Parts: sequence; C-alpha cells; structure tokens
Amino acid sequence: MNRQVLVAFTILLLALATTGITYSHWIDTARVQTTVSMAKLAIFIQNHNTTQTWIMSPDNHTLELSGTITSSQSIWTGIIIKNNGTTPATITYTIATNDTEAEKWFSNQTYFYGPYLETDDISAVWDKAATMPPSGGLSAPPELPAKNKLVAWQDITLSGTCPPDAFTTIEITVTYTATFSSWTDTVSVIYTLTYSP
Amino acid sequence: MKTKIFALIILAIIALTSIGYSYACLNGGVQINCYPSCDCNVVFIKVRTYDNEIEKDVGKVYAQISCDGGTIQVCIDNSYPCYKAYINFTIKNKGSYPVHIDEVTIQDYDKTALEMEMINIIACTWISPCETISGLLTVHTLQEAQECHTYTFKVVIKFSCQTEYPRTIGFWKNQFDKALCKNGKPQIDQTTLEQYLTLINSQSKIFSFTGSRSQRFQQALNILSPSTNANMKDKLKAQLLALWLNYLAGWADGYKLNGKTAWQIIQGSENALKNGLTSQYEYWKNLCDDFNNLGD
Repeated sequence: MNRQVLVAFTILLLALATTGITYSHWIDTARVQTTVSMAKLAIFIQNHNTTQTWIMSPDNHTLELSGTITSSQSIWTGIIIKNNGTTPATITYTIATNDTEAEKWFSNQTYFYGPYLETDDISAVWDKAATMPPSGGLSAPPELPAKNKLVAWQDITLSGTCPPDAFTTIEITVTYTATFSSWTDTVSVIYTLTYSP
Repeated sequence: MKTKIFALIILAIIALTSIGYSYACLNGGVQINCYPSCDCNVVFIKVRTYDNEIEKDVGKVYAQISCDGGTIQVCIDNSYPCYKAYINFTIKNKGSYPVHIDEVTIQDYDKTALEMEMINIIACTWISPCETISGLLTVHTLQEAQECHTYTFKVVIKFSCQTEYPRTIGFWKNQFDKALCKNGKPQIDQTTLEQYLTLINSQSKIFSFTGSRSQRFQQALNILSPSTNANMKDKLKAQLLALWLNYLAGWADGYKLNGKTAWQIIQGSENALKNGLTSQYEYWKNLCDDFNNLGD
C-alpha cells in the first residue's frame, strides 16, 4: 500500500514538473504540408484501318505500313489517336519523306473527326463509313481533351504522270504531335512504298 | 498509517505551493491576468485556394485545415509546367499572450521542379492576442518538373510566446525606490536600471538623466511619482517613462493598444510633449497608462 502511494505521489510530482517546464518553454509550429501530383501527357494509336501490311510498335506509338503503289493509286489509312493522359492536347501533324525528288509525285489529304469519348459510337466515321473520306471531316485536328480520341483518315495518292523511274521505294513518315504546355508526345505512321509502274 | 500518508501529501502540496509563490514574489508578485484564456495558442482559421488558369481547367488545388488548426494540408493535382497554385491562409492568435514568428522555413523540396514564395508571413513579426495575420503561399511548377511525379514539401512556421507583460508605474517606482537603498530587494538590478536610463537618454527627446547613479535614479523616481495635484504634463511624463522602461525591458514586445505598439505610443507622447500640444496630453497619458496596465 505504502509503495503504491509513493509511486503515485512520485508520478504526480513528475507530472507537475513536466507541465511547468513545458509551459515555460512554449514553442509552437504551424505547418503547410503540400503534395504536388504532376499531370501526364500521353497519346497512342488505339486502332488502325489499312489495306497495307502493318506492324505496330509495342508501345502503340508507331505504325509501320508497307506495300506497293502504282500510278494514280490512292492509299487510305485510318488511325484512332487516343489521349491517355490527364491534360488536353493540341494535335499537329507533319509529313516527311526520305526522297525529296520523288515526293513531288505524291499528294495527300488528311481528315480529322472528333473528339470522341470512349463510349461514343464512331462507326459512321470508322469501320462503317459510307464514303471515303467519311463526311464531316475537319482539315485541321481539333483539340483533344484528356481520355478522348480522334479519328484521322489520310489519303496518299501517287500521280498518274509519275515516270516509271521516278523512284523504287519511298518512305513517308506522318508524325502526329500532341502538345500541352512544354510537354509533347508523338505517334507516327511510316509508309514504306515500293513503286510498281 | 493512512493519516500519515494524507498528511505527507498535504505537506508536499503546501511545500510546492510555497516554492511557486516565493518564486513569483521574487519576480514581481503574483498576478492573475488570464483573458480570455491564459495560454499561447496559434491556429489556422481560414484557407482559400486558386490558380493561374484562365481558359482551361486542368490543374486543381485543394486545401484543408486540420481539426486542431495546426496544419493546412494542400493537394495540388494534375500540375504541369507554368501552373501556379495560390494558397491564401489566415492565422489567428487565440491565446492571451502575444506570439512571435521566429522562423518561416520551406523544407524538403525539389528546387528544379518547384518554386515557392511566401508572402506576408515573415520572421520577427508579432501577432497580438486575437489578432489575425494572412499569408499567401505561391507554388509554381517549373519546366523541369517530371510528368507523373509527386513532389512534397512542408512550410513550417515557428512561433514563440511572449509570457512577459508590461509592468505598472507602481512596479517601476518600486524598483527605483529599492535601488536607492530602501527596504527590499529589487527585481531588476541596479546595473540594468542604469542601462535603461542611459538608453532613454540617448533615444528620448524628453527625458535626460544626469549626475551620479543615485542622482539619476532619484530623478527617475521623481518623474514616476507625480504629486496628486500634478498637472497633466507631469502625469503624462510619469506614464511615458514607465512605458519607456517596459519597452526597453522587452515587456511591451508584441502588445498593441488600439492598434498602436508601445513604440508608436512613445513617439506620439514625445511629439505632443515636445511641441506643447497640451490638448493631447490627456489622450497620450491615458494610452501610456492603459498600455502599462495591459498585464493587469
């Protein structure tokens, strides 16, 4: 009993002393704790529609097409670009070849459709298009909001007056670039076409 | 046996109380000045966020004050280069003592990815009881910030509490009285009192203490003890000298009266005395008096 009282008394004394010391040395802090989670800009080729032989890169960023082309032939290729990031993206595109002499015999037209949500029915401008190109296309790509997709149809036509010896094989690279702030991401369609006069 | 233990506890309590009381007496007496609560307590009371986006709404910034008011948790989501988040917050001193901002530090952050700016919350600022102070934290995401990355950082505002308080004119009279070899031991030693008078000599446009130490102490005591039928000028000088002494002792730090600091009241009073603005004497005397009694 004595021992218990002594222990309780000692604890009481220590508590009093601690309270005094704590009070006399009052210092407090206020904190602003911040977490900054960065966004992501990412596009990929979700689907494609082509008559050419194709290989898709594992990251779905590059579609390689190969085949032959004859004079006056048009090659229509459709791709669906999906914005898989968390920011909107401004899409631009460029076309380049590895043969500047031969490229003058080619012409191209690109038509854009969208943007569409994943749940939207796009069959009228995609696999069930009544005409080629599907009606209602835009000549410039619209802004692509996050999680939306864009349909792009591109026609590459070789002139009917292209001489038989104009080129043997040509590589045409179409690059679609998504931009937001200072970030960019790109997808490409690379045609490797062998001329069959 | 039980009686003995009980007696022991009572004796211990009396001993503890006596030690506390003796110590208090040694430091100027026991004063109960708890209004509205006798503590040091600084909390966040308000937070508002916004960003620099005008057309597109991509980045988001949210903030929440913790239940104890001690922390603001800020979440900036979907940030990107050039995104700026603004966190506007208000701190309130809910205690009864002035609180001093000792240090503001921004800890642990990647300077290549983020740029931080804290506006209006700076070290060496006092917050009076019940006073609020607002700050603005800007978080700017830089070009080097990486996609899909998470950055964290902490802003720590360190406070300390002013547990001292201004002393009355009676306290100061008592100090000089005892310093002049009257009965009792002063709470402030003679050297410190002498230093205060020297500082007042150099800074005041009104007071000038000359002669030996005793003569200067006597001059101070005379000023602090105007007769009952003294004019307003002498009453003002008495309260003003007490305020000077509180100011120099650091016991006026952080306190404000009617929005005025001790230094502002000293300046106003000296200006009135120096320019003979007799109509203002009572006003400044009352301010000095009330300030010297803030601890009561």
